[in-house]
Amino acid sequence: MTDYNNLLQQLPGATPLVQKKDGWWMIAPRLDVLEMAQKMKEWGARFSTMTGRMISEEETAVIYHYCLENVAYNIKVNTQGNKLPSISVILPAADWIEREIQDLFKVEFTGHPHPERLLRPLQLEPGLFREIGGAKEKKEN
Amino acid sequence: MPYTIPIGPYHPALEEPYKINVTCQGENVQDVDIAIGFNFRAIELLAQRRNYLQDVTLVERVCGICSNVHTMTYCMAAESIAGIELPRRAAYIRVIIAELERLHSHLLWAGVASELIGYQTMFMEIFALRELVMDVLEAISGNRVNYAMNVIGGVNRDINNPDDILAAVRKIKATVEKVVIPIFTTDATVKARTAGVGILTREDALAYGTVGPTARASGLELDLRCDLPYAAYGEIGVNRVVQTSGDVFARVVVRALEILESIRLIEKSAAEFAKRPHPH
Repeated sequence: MTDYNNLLQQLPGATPLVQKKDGWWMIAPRLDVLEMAQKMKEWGARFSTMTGRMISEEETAVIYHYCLENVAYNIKVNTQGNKLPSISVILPAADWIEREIQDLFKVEFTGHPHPERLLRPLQLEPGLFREIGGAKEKKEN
Repeated sequence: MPYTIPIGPYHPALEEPYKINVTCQGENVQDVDIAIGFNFRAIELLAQRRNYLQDVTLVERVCGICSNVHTMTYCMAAESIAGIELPRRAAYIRVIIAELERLHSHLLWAGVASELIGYQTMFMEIFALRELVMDVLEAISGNRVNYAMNVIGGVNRDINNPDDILAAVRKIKATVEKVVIPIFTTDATVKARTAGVGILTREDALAYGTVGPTARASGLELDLRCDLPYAAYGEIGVNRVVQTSGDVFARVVVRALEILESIRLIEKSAAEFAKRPHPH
């Protein structure tokens, strides 16, 4: 039986996994997410979804949720300059959720195959969930 | 020469507003562009501004077809955080409501599928069955949709007349077995429009994170009711329905067999639930 926990902890930038009620958690701000996605794909994991959370005015935490052999793995990574590499090329299931997080938290997923807006009208600035009080109209130049 | 047909964002054939540009070559769909977001409501943002009890009402409105599953999973998360154990009678009631909701969702899908392939009589037959489910849900909860059955720690309403539920689901079972399944699996016109059409391979189903009956029709043996049982599914035991051809036909067969499995689960839940007296 493959020891996926050990393999995950060997990824570049990985930190120790912690078991919680809702599965395994890794808080790894500088994890190599492309390597993570590649390995998860090779192991036959199902990509469930991603969660965004504003952690400062400039940065966002992004949690990658996987299901691997019926066990949930939640891997929390921080953006750098509010950017992260897109894993959509490796795992197409991430395509829409990366675009959604782009809309809501203004995170740029570099290398996304078609990074158009997904949820919100084009005339509105992305980043609704970063703003207290709701959407901010795009300022006229 | 390929041509493109724009459909939506508001169109009688669409259940919700979205826009698709379908590129066709003859009758074959070559490509589709999808635009969504016309009904964006920021549910997550709204949830952060309400308390845990108010959020139950909010998440019920994520979807009109599957409202119950949203409150059930939300309540399960809150119960897990708070360390609340669900009373067993409530667990069986949750299974009954969840399976009734699955029945009406699968029947809706089968009805719409029939209509889309031009089979109007089948559409009406199936939607008549769906009405029976809606009537049962209304009798239990007072509502045809948004049943408001779940609350953190249990359910809002007891089920007083399980025999009425059983009578309705057995009627559905008889028609599904005698009419719906035979027609969907043997009728030449239906098979011509479903077998070998819209194939989603097992590999693609996994790559795109597919779940539910769509995944099971592509050979992925995923069913949370079996893999990580919740409510009373562990005690009842769920038979997994899986097909491997990945085409529309497989998706029809999975749903048809799951209708029968849901009825079995409701019958078993009703029997078990009757053994567990109301706490008051």
